[in-house]
Amino acid sequence: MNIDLFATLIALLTFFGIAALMAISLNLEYGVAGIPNFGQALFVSIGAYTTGVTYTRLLPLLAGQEAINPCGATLAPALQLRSEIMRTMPAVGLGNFVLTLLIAAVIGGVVGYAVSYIILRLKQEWYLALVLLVGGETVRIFVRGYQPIVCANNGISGIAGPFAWVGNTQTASILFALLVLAFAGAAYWYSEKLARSPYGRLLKAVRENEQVARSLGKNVARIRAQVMLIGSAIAAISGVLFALNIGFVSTNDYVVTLTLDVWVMVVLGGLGNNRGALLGALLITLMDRATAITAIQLNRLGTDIEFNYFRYILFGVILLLMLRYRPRGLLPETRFTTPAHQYLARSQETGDARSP
Amino acid sequence: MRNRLLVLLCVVGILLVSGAAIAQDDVETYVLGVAQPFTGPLGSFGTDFTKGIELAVEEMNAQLEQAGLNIRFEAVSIDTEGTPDGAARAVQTIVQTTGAQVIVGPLTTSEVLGAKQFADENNVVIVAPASSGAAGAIPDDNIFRVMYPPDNFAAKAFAQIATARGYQNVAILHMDDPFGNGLAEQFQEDFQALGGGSVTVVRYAPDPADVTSEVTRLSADASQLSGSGTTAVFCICFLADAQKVLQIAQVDPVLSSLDWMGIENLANPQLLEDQNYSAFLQNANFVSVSFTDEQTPVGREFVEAFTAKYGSVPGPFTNYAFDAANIAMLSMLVAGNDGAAVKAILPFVSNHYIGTSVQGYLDEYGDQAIAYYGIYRVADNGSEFELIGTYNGSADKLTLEE
Amino acid sequence: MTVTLLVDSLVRSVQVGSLYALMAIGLTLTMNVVRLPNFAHAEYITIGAYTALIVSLGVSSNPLLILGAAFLVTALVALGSHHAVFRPLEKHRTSTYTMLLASFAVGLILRYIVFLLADYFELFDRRIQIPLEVWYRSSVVILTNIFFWVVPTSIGLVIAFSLLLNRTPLGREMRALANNFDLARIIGIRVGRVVNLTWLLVGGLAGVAGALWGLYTSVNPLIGWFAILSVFAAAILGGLSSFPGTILGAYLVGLSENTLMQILNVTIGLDFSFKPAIPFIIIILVLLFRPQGFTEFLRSNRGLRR
Repeated sequence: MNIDLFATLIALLTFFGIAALMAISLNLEYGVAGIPNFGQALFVSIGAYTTGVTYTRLLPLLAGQEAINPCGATLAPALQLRSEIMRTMPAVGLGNFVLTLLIAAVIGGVVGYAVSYIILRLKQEWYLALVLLVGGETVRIFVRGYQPIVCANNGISGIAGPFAWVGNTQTASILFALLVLAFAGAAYWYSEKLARSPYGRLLKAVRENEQVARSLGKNVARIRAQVMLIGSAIAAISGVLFALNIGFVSTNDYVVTLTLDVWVMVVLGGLGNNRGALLGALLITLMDRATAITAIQLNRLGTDIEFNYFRYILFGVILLLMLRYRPRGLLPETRFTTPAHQYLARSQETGDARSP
Repeated sequence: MRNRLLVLLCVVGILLVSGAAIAQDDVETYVLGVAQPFTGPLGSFGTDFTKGIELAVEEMNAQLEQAGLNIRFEAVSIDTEGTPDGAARAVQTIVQTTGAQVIVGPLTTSEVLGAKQFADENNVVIVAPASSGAAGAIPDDNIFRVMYPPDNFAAKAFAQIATARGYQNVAILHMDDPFGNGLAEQFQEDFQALGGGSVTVVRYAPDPADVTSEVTRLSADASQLSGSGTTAVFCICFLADAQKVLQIAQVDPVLSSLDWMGIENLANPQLLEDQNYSAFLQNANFVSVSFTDEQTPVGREFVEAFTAKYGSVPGPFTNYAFDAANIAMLSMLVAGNDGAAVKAILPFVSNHYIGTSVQGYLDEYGDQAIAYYGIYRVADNGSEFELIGTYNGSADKLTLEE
Repeated sequence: MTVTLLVDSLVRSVQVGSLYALMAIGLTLTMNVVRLPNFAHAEYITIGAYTALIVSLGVSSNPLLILGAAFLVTALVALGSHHAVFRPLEKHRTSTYTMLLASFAVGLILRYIVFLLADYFELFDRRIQIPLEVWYRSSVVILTNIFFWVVPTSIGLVIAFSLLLNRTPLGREMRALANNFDLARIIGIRVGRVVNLTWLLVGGLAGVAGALWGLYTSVNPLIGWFAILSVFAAAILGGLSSFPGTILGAYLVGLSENTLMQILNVTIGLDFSFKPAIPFIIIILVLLFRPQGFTEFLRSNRGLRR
């Protein structure tokens, strides 16, 4: 064993940050607003496919050059062009990165809003779940079959992060990790503010009892659509970072398993709880690496048994144990009180209705 | 709950440390990373490739010990899960956990491209033994796709076979992935350049549950083509898919009356275990283009050693994994366990390496550039394949004894 | 389009549809009597296929024995999964999504156990050893013994199941449970027994379906997982409650995957590589525009809900 602890740490932090974004997005949608979004793969893939398109068509334009078709015969020159731009023109690279994030967030948000508006009017809520799950796969099959976007099933390589111009690889990876963590932090901060605000309490009221909320005159469908917009935008941003982290955009990565992984993170960590979402993301990221290392070691023993299968079995067993013994997750949902509650609590203690 | 967590962490820690304890004193061990899909639909390739790689490592270590040298290799494998993201994480994990600088694998082109960014940025060399998709033909990177010849050679071979046998039209059935698409397209070009007639194409989605519609369509196409000339069927399919195809084809009047050609995956004795398939393929004058162990003495030795060690013949392309491991290890012997140095010297080593099939000559993209195939047909006893010719890629020359 | 192409694709649609029907009624039964969208159903199918494979390789080539073994083994696995996982969870009043995730976890565990064993014993992509024979040949169509095994067995089992549901006391009890769980308990139905028998039935049907499906294609650990979304589409077409609806839905899915796909391919050149998207599009369209599926068209009392 020759573990490079520092590199492992940076890598884990990067994966954790990306997973955290996905988990926070789902927690916002399901934990806070009660929308069962089984379409993470779809929204994350929107971010990733956008990245594929912007880095091949937009990036050269920003650098004042002509875009080369990244598929087919001109693959190598196109790749060389974008690698060179990312390496030598940091401002252009950064500009393209920012634009990618914006475009991805907008597209993701709009799709989320549109989808939810149509479906949230239906009677049974889990229809949304199944339609999104299945819709994600349908989009994947179509993107896989047509040339534009990501060159059908070939994928687009050479999607470098915004720090590709930094000479030292380690520095670049540290910077990227910090960037990802910054995004995760921002999303966390935003979600917390949202959850604690009156708007957030409204969402929880809607989640708890839809009829009551509707009777109070709140337009339930519109509120939920707004939440889907925000959540989907966050998921799309996570997709951009996910693609940049690997450096390759392919439809093979955005399958149903991704959606289910994010659900496990949120259920594990604690529903309706942003800290829980972070904890879930952390646990899954750590478990993935730890089980991989364990499987490496066990396979070295030289038996005929393929230990990599045990990773999945272990994952399933842990999930079942969690669902059985901690169905609300590891961290309980925090209860927010308003100033009115606090006043009431204090006055009950002191028996005096006047003092603050 | 917390105590149980502590115990789990201790167990994990012990396992991690135990690896270090195995190392000996005065011998330097280089870790050869093996990143393959062990889980998922391509899992059987991963297992087979790893066996071939471990055989190579064993033989190398024996030679080094005999020569009195104090370097040994150890193959350490990790699962890529068959996806680009999985491959990226797998290569990252194995490099950061074992210090491996040279990786044999992954299997498919999309996995290779998934691992590419990390490899390029961290001076890790990737030696992929079975990737041939055009999307991976990139110069000056850390990816070397050795041994498995680019599909245009197979395409040329098949085109020449088709012409030599007098096929005027060909009906192709292929899976919709970069390999299938590339080979089918290339074959059509080459076949028509040699004077061939019409070519129809039916694609099927990868990992099909059921291919009956596609095969029915293939049959209709073939029937139509037959009207204007001698027609053959070309199956560019994985073994499992081919089994489904043959099940339907064997009772189809059109498809069972035509000649069939198939890719290397179908030249598998497992396919002949079924009497009906065996009879069908014999009747169809089935021909395939595949690795031959007749070209070099090492090839035959490899097959014998593999069979002796594991009790079964090596699966398709496993010999390429064996060769890739050897190229990687030889480069590491020359340059040390240093990614940048290995990257610099690997083309030279590969160009002078003759393994189980053919010389490992690389082009400007770092990909295998020449090919040598055996042409196989079902033997008369119906339970194995026999060699009936060869195709020399460098000379673009087909020799067929029919 | 030629007649042969059309007739052949219709034959395939019938074959595939019958198999989907057999797989889907088990799913609908689980959804209704136990209220669980069971993703592990895919693995029951796989286990049935592997049982059939192992029996055919090691014990006998008798189709009845093979199917019977598949029925028994899978029934026991399904019952086991109920007692080990679903019943303890249900006691705690968990939400539907938790149960869905739990079923996914069970499926994961079962699938990778099968993978482990298949890897150790080298049973990837093997064929069930029932020799193929042609039993009917005409100018437009050819039918093999596999067709005559798959279609009558599936249809027969579906009919037998229908009879069980409508004519037997057990069926009445199942329907009562589906209609109103708590009320059924109050009026004295032995809920535990009915639920156990339901699980055995669900597992058994899925197992036989898996064995037949494996016969129709080949056996690998993902065979159930690749088929399950088409099965869900069929169940959704049946409104997840009506059995005739589910069966009709199954044939519809089979038809659209084969005949419709064939027609689209010939007329507008739609590539076969989009075939997996067909059950998905069906699910989306049904859920968007007619979520109750076929339940109201068929005004028979054969459904579980009135």
